[in-house]
Amino acid sequence: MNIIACYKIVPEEQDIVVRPDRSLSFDKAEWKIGQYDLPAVEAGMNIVETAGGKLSALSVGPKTVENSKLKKGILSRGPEELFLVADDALTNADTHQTADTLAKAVQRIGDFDLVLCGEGSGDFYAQQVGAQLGELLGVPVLNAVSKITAEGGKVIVERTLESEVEVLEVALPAVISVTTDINKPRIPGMKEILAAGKKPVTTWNLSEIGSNDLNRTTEVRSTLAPQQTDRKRTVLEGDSDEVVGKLYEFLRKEL
Amino acid sequence: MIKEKRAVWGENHNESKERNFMDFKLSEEQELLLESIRTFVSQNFPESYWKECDESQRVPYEFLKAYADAGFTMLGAPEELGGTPIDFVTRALVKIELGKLGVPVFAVASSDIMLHLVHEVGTPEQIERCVTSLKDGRAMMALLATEPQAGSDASAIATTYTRKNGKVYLNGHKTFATNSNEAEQAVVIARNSDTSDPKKIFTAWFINPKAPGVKIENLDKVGQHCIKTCEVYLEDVEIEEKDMFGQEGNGFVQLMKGFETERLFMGALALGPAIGAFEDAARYATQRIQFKQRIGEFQLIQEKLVYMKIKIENMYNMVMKTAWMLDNGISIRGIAEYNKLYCVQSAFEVIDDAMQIFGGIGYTNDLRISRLWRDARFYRIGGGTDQIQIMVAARQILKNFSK
Repeated sequence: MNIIACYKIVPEEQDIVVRPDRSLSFDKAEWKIGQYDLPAVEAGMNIVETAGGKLSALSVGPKTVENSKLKKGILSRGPEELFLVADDALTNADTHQTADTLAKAVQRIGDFDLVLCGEGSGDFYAQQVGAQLGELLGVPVLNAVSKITAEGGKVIVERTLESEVEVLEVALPAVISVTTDINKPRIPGMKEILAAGKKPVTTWNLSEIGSNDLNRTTEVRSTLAPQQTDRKRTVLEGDSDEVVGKLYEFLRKEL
Repeated sequence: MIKEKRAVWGENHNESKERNFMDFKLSEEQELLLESIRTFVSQNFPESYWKECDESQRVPYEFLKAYADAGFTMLGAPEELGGTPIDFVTRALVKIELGKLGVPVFAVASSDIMLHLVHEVGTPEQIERCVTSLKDGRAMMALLATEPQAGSDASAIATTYTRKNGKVYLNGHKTFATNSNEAEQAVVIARNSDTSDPKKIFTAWFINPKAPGVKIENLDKVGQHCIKTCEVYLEDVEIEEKDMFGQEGNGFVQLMKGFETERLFMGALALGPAIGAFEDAARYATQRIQFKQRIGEFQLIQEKLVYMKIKIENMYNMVMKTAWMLDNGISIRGIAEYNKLYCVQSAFEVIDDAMQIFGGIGYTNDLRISRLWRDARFYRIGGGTDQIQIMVAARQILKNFSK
């Protein structure tokens, strides 16, 4: 089975600086592989290890996706090959542009049976890309998948819903977004890390995959941190009705 | 032969061979490995786990098994043993990282120091037994060298081996024998009862600690509770010629070779917890309020933090340089001793200062600082006391300056 696992490069949360105007600065941020995408890679490995086939990884984004440590990082988790679309025109790409780029890259890679995505990106978590990608590729698309079993030319998947577990048989090719419960991603050892540097990586820019049309349907105007308010440090002492009444008044005024 | 084997232990994986040797930056592979170590520990073995092991004075079997299954135990060992060869710098980095995360490194990740020696002088069967134990997440072996009257003065060893009817018999009393009741094999240093030639007198033997005639008693220690340290009584323990470890009469010489690497790694083992303790204390100094201000605003606390950090920087540089020297085939004679002495003393001072910054709460067993403090004291005694390091290092200095 030919599987492609998608992942996004996101900023390390701890390194994001909130500017005085509440906008976010990623200048000092280390970049990392989105944590929700790792289960997708692991799910791909599990299928390949049990049913055979090949797992490749795919990411699209600004030039940061080309970071050599990140490339080794994703490949140390198992994929045999890595495909990247690195283009600064993808900075702040919306979900449609991301899905469109992924779709063109998948078509460029060629044959595939299954594309796996995480449940949402590690930064904006819109949970849109998987669904849009399936639509653009014109194949069945499922989200919230918590179990995948390969069987012949199809896969049996489980979707854990609020009060039931839905079991579905899915014809391939398909696009599936997996939950974080689907597995516990493996921790790469030194052998895998060393091997990662020797695996093939193919990098394209947008025009090379035939995507010149940056037709954005939405535009991110601003991303702001929530307004911080100073604590008032009002302390009421005692437990008389009068004090309780005062507390109630304070709370009512604030709400 | 020995030289060839040494070379595979120091394999260098830095991707760029032409890297400037003053480059202090970690390679991407090293960074990724440390990330893996961090994820492995933080996902599975939080402080509560180590607290429980420490309190109940038990061996952390779950960690040892998982660490072996993840392939970390055999890091540094050559491929022919099923390991992943990495250089000494990277091996030291792994030990530092584990210690920083609160893992009692000496108890769980120091056996590769001896594996090096086993690989050099052991028979294929002895190597196989040690490697099997390690891969199963069990103690690799116990080293039965010290005796009640032969501590730093190892030449006073009185345990004997005697040949009788084609067999060899061991008799004596060993102490501070790490892992004796856990390991499936032990190496005993014994005196040849038939000779008085000082150069031929000590030989190392492989024994099964569960064999008849071996009696083991656990010692109750101040710290390092995750590893067992024992008294071992040997009474007519029967072994065979094939159980000889290395060459006859070479018992000490071969052990000494292992000591150099041990002294490097002891520095790394002591350093990790010191970094952890420093970070705990620095964080606390920014939170704890006394006299209406964070205690970190007091200059007496600031002085502590700064000197703690300087010691950490010095330890790190010393460990890294020593490891780098080994990787580049430069002798660390003398340097190994400065490294061990400075690191174990400074690490204890740093952890002690961290406890001081925590005040009363630091002296309780609620925080990990108490465990780190108890564990750290060990390094100033184990693997050659501070005084022995000074003795060996001073001898080297005097030798260099004598005409």
